[in-house]
Order: sequence, then C-alpha cells, then structure tokens
Amino acid sequence: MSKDEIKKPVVLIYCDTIEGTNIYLKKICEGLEEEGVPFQIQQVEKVEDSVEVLAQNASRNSNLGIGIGVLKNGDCALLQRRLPPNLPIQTLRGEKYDPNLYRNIGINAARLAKNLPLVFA
Amino acid sequence: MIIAGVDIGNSTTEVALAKVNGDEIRFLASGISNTTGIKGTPQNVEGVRHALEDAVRKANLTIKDIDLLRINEATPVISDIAMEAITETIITESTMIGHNPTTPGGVGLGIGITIPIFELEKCKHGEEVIVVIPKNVDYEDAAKIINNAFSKGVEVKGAIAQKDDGVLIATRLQRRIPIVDEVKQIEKVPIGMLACVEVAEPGYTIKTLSNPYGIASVFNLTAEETKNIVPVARALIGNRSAVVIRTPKGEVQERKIPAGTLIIKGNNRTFTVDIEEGAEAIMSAVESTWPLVDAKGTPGTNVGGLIARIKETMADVTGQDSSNIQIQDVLAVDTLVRQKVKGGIAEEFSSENAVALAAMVKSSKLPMEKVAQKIEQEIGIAVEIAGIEANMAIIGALTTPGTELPLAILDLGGGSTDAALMTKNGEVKSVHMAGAGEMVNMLIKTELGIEDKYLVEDIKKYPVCRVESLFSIRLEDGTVRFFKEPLDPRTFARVCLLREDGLLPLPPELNMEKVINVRRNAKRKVFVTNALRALSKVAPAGNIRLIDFVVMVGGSALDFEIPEMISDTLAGYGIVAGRGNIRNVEGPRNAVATGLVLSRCKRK
Repeated sequence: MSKDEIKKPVVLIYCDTIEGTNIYLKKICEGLEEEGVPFQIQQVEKVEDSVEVLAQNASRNSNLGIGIGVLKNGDCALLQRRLPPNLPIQTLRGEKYDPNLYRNIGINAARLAKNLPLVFA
Repeated sequence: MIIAGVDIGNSTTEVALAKVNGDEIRFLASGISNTTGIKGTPQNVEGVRHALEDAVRKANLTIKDIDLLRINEATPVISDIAMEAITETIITESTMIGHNPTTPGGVGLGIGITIPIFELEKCKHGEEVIVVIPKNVDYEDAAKIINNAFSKGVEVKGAIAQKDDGVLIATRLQRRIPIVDEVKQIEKVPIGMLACVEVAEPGYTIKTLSNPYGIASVFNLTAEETKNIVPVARALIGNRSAVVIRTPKGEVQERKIPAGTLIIKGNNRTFTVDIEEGAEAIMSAVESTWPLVDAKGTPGTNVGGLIARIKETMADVTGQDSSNIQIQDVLAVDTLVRQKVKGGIAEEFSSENAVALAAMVKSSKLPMEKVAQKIEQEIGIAVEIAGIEANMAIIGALTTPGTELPLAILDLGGGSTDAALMTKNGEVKSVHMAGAGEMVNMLIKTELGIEDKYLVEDIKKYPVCRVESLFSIRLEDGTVRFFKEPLDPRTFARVCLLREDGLLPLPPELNMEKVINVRRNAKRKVFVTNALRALSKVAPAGNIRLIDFVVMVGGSALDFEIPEMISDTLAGYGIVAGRGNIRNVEGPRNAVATGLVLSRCKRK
C-alpha cells in the first residue's frame, strides 16, 4: 500500500480475514456508501487482542480518526481515535446475526465522520 | 415563642420558621413542599404538613415546638389555558410526500406515471415512469431491474423507495435519476398516477415542487387548481427532496376552522372579538374594557370550553354557583402549532396559526377558615389567618437588601402574574393577570410539537447546547466547553439540554436556534407582556414611570432568563428591577411566608 492511499480521508475497517467476514463487511459498507462516506477495508495479519483494540488500531490509522474492527466470529466494534477501547461507540457480538445492525454500525461510522446524530436501533 | 408563616400558593406551599422574643425576630429555617389540592381547599393540609416538616427538620425541632401558625388570606385566583387553531392543512387523497430523508439518491427532476417495480418489465419502449420500490426489494435487485428497463428503452424518470437505500440504488444505475427514500407508508402511494420526484444537489433545496407555479407547470394546472396546491408547495419549502403525485380527485385545502368568538364585558362596553383576528385584536379589546366584568366564549369551541372549565373549577372551590363566577382577565398570544398534515404519507408536518389563551377568575374570598380549622385539628397547632397575600408579599420582599418604600413587587407564578404596590404610608394596591409559567409551557409544547410535559418543563428551565465532538459542547453563547471523559455517543451531534445531572438529548428534528427562539419568545410574550400590563395597573395614575423599585418574587423568578428580560424592559422606563433576595438568603422564594411572620411583630 502506498503512502498516498493512507492519506485519503477514509473510515478504516480492519478484519482478521476478508473472506470470513464478508457477510458483515457487505452490510457495514452498505451503511457507509448510503451515507456517502469513503472507506477502506484492510486485512490485519495477526489479531491478539479484542475486536475493540482492533477497531482502535483502525481508528488511529484512519485520517478521519474513525475505525471499525470485524472478526470472523461476527464481533464488531466502532471506535473514534480519542476513545479508549473500553468505551467504544458501538459494539456487536456475533452470536446472533442481524444484517440491519451491521448496516447500522456502518451508518454510525459515517455519521460520526459527518458530525451528524447517530442512530441507535 | 416559635412562629411559622405558611404561604399556600397555587403550586408550592412555603414556610418561614422564626423565634420571636418581643420585638426580636430570629429566622430559623424555611420549608417548601408541593401544594396538595387546589389552593384554599382542606386538601391543602397535607402540603402544609410536609412543608412544616421540611422546615423543622432543618432547624432541629419538631412540629410540636411550633406555637403558632400564620396563614395568608389567599387571593383566590384560578387560571387555565387553552389553544385555538385557526388553520388546518388537509390533503384529501394522498398527494404529496414532502419529507426530508438525510440521504436521498441521485439528483434532478423526474416526471412520470407511478408503477410498482415488479411491473417494470411490462413497460413499453419510451414509456415515462416513476418506480415505486417497497422494502422487501433489495437495492441490488432494484438497480438490476431498473437497468434492464433502461436497456429496453423504458424511460425511468425517478424512484420512490421505502428503505433508506436511495444512494445505494442511485450509484448502481446507468443513468442519474432522482430517488426519494425512507417513505414509510409506501403502500399509500397511488399507482398509475402522474407523479413528480425532485432531489436537489447537496447543499441546495428543491426549486420546482416548493413553488406553486412549478407544480402548475409540471401538472398543467389551471389558475384555480394552482390556488389549491399552495399549501403543498408551502409544506415542501426547505426540503432537499420531495414527491408530488396528482390524483384525479386529489385536493389539498387549507381549511379555516371556525374558531369561535370571545365576548369581553367591561363596565361600560362590551366587545366581541373573533379569535381568528389574532392576539393583538383580543388584547386591545381587553385593555380598552379593563377592568373586566366577565368574558364568554362560543360554546363548542376551545375558547368556550376554557372559560366554562375555569368557572366550574372556581365554583367547586368556593361552593358558589358557576353562573356567579366571572372572568377577570384574559391573555391572548399568537402562536404556531406544529401539526401533522392530514393525509400526508411520510409524516409531513405543517405549522398552523393558532391563538393561545389564558383566563383568570377571582372570587371574593376563599374559605380559608375551613383550611385553618382543618390544620388546627390535624396538626394540632393554633392557626391565625393573617393579612392579605399581596401585603405580606411586599413586607417579605422589603427584606431584600437595597429596597425601600414605595415598592412594587411582581409575583411571577405558575398560573398568574401578580403585581402589588405599597406606598410610603403603607397603602397597597394589587392586581392579578392571567398567564404565567404554565402558559409558557403550553407555547413551547405546541410550537416545538413535544408531547412529554416533563421535557417541556426542562426545555423552559435549562439552556441548550450542541454536542460538537465526543469531548466538547458548544453553549448558547457560542463558547465551547471541553470534557475529560468522552460524552455518551447518544448525545453526539445532537442538541441537548444542559441539566445539572448531565446532557439530555432533544428530538433530532429540533435545531438549536429554533429551541432558543421558541423558548425566549414564549417567555417574553407571556412574562414581559404581563409585567407591563400588571405594573401599569398598580402604578400611580396608571403611569409605569412613577414606579421606582420593582422586586420580582415567585417560582418563575428563579428562571435563568425571565428576570433579566423583565429588568431589561423595565430599565427603559427608568425602573430599578431585579430578582428578590428575601432575608438576604432565600432568593425570590418565601416572600409571603416571611411577610406573615414579620407582620405579626410589626402590628404589636
């Protein structure tokens, strides 16, 4: 990845595997696209900690300061750069899959970037 | 001996507890409680007991230590409020979708016949249509179906979608068409009708559908039909997207509701005012007939109901016949009511003109003896009925540092705004005006369209702020405050009330300027108007400029901006006005209760 790409203002989405998280990523990206905020998905080589720490790493590398972490078990977290991992904006646990909730997290990531009120189901 | 002054008010019962030794008075504590029942009725005893308990606890005493209670000869003032809408927008047959989804798709203006997306494949080459997409159709499928239609030569001009996926559909289409999404009741969209969809560029608002002639051009309307469409165009002003559908019988009317009339009787003349003439006409009739002998409203209207209700309440309290009860004052205020458009599809709202009214009755005397007897029986302390409420309030207000006679007070309450003036030789003139805190609440409630009455009270009481980031808020005065800990994400980018216990987010459709404007205007229209009306009626020779000092007391004097608004206005008449500070410790509360204690010693 070249330096130019990182400099673009995007919401960064980190996942442990792109294939394994496809169904979640699709919904998250729908939310971001509908709100018109650019995003970028990256597969992270190794994930030692929780999905919250993954999201925090994403937010720290995002030029917008907004990151999402997704794991193949469906766990998902939305964080802003200045938030500690124990205070995420929103988290989802993978046990029960509701596509609307993943889309909602994408919408909220976008709204955070646009400085618009968030939506909570 | 220990004396307690007890002031039973419309909404609160206040106590001033003092130790009296000859001429020496030492105040021990104050107590406060909600008034139980309507002021002047035996139900008040419970509230009196709570307020006394509150006071003795602070003074480390028990109720048994009190030797004497002094209660005020309450002025029986009851007021009530009502609202009379003058206009109403009705759409017979669904004709417009005027809501403002945050993210509509595409851009431009499209005109065509409405058709469900499932029937798109049946359309012929060159047919001009608007596609209706219900929520069970996925955006990818919707885009595929529409693209197929494009390749067959069908002119898809625009789309109406139920889910929030206008942008997702638009970006997958071969051509750019306007798409309005988040239309909740999509099943109400009439099929097979000529419709127009408009989506403006980001940052702009729609131009064609918010203009009556624009709608007329789209649908080839006659002059008469254009007149009827005006309310639709008006309701769409400021939107980024809209749909207007022409149905054969479709008709929009701005109906005038027969609002009833108010008959205002004075000593010499009687005025009849149509409510729809507005507040100004009503108030000029009230002022030119003052003092009022009575007022009546057309039965079956809100005005009629309001006046009948007040009279009945007063009749109950005093045991008189309601035909003997007379209205003493009326305050009318112009307002706007946020009402749901009848017949709209996506919960459109329109602002309708309305008049808010407060009315007040005063009877000769409340049966305070009964209350006094009941207190003696149930609490077991001797009770004295002391002087008139207004006199007591002035005696109490005089304990505010920096005041002297002649002094006027403004009692800013919940139900009525009262004024009293005491001259150098102790003569008192007092007056009660309809309309106070409760009317402010009603105006806030209707203009902002909020049903929750606790939220309305909070909007009146607390300033607003906007959460600008997860760590900072912008206050009403434009300054920014930072927090160490992140704020609740639920408050992010929202307008919130700045309560002591944290931020309370308001409904997302309210913006900060609107909340501030509505709140300040409501307070000004009620309290500033009534302060001037009341003071000019107690002023020497009716000239408000002859008053030097005004002390504001009562619950609404605790408000963070009402006293400043009044002080500011009165300064223009050369009057020193400010919030009272009873006994240099109580602020604007406890004036009457304090006066009740002091008056006993002064008489000796």
